[in-house]
Amino acid sequence: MIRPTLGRVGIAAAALALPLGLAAVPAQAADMATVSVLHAIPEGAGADVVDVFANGDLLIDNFTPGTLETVEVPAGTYDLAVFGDGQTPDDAEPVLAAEAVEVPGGVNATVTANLDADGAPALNVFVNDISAMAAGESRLIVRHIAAAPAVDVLADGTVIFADVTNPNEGAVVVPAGDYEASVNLAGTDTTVLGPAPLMLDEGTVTIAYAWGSAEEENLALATQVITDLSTGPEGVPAGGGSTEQLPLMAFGIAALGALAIAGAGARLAATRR
Amino acid sequence: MTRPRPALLVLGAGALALGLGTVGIATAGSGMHVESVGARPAVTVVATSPTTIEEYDVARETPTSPYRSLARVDATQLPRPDRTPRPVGIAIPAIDVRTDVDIVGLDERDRVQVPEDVARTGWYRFSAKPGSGSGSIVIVGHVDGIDQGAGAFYDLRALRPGDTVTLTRADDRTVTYEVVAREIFAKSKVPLRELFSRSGPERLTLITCGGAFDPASLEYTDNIVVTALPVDSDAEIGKTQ
Repeated sequence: MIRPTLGRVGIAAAALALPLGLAAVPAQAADMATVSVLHAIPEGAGADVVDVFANGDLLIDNFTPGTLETVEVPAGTYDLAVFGDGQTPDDAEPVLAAEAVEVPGGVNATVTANLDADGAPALNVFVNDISAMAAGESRLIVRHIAAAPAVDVLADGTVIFADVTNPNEGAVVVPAGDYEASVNLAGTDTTVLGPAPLMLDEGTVTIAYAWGSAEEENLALATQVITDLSTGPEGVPAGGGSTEQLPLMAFGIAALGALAIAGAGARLAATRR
Repeated sequence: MTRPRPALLVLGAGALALGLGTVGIATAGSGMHVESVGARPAVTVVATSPTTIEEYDVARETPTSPYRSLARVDATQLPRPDRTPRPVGIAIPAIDVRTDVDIVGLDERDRVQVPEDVARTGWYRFSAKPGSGSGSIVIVGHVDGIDQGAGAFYDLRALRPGDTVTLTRADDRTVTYEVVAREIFAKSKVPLRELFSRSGPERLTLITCGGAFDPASLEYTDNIVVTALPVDSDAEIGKTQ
């Protein structure tokens, strides 16, 4: 395939601060929303098995590091709370909490339980851009949710997002295909993640998360994919017309006929004089 | 008796030719008259969550829970290139077609490229692969060429529900599909997003041109679309190799 060189782009959007109120809502917005939750607090940081509650109801059970669960929820305002395994809002204090997270109908969002830049547990909410893409395109979103300094994100050796800090993100639409992704300390050639093969499928949003801790030496990549967002091609031109000569021939015969009528008419007019 | 005047004869012949020519224009494309038969499986195109769904017990949720779990995945598994072999051959016994399948992409106007050799067909490289278990496998072929006569898919209009289409993959395994629908759409009305969707059940989508040929734009007015569902395979459907 022809693969144009990826341009260097700035950070497309900062991670949304809570609440989600100003999130762009697709036209087909219903009264439901799609929320994914990513457990990105590494093992051994006090959250190895957790339960996630939303407005006091169990949302996700027995959640472990590196897993992503996608849940359909009614649009609304949510108090999110993460509890140690088996604990509930009735008998314990949450490990992590976020109050009054607004989730509009039709939105697609991801909540991450992760470490902040200094290594403390944090919740972040990101809105996922699921707008349609032209045929042959793929969208890559990169999110820094690791206890690590600013980084550069590279695809096939070219920096595509520079100086990304926790908890920010960058987004770019690229030709679908296979790439090699890596993460460097910002402004340096020191690679802290990868290079790893990354398949960016057509019509797919691929969200790559850098998570873990540089100090604990457990930085890792996690991904979330959302598929079937291609508009499809613009058409299928699959004919040249050689088996349909009739129209051209017919035009010719009709044209000859019209000429003959005109000519004969002129001659008749002339001979009547 | 008076001899007819030559000018009158010419006038008569001219009128006849004009009439014939006009009739010719009016019925152009009548040889391509095709009606839609059968029905494609309904496919709702929506953004879908990850495909690597692990076995997950959703019964844990209380019946009163307002939340519905769609999927739980291991996010540490990076998306890997799809290694399912692509189709390299197509056979449609009902219309005596047996030809090669090339790889095709997009032209400069984001339309699907169709192999220049009208005897060959093309698999759209962003579509599904036979045996992958989901999505539309799109194969395009010319109905005819500008100067090459009838193309590989000239008789696609004659396919009927129940006819079979067999794809041969690059690993020599085959998947056989049974036609469930043949549809004709004006080019401005082709449901491209559904026909090319990677969601829904595995299905084969064959596309060519139809309707009348417009000598001005050098294009046909319609697309003929045949949809077929897998019925037999020596490859493991749904298991990428």
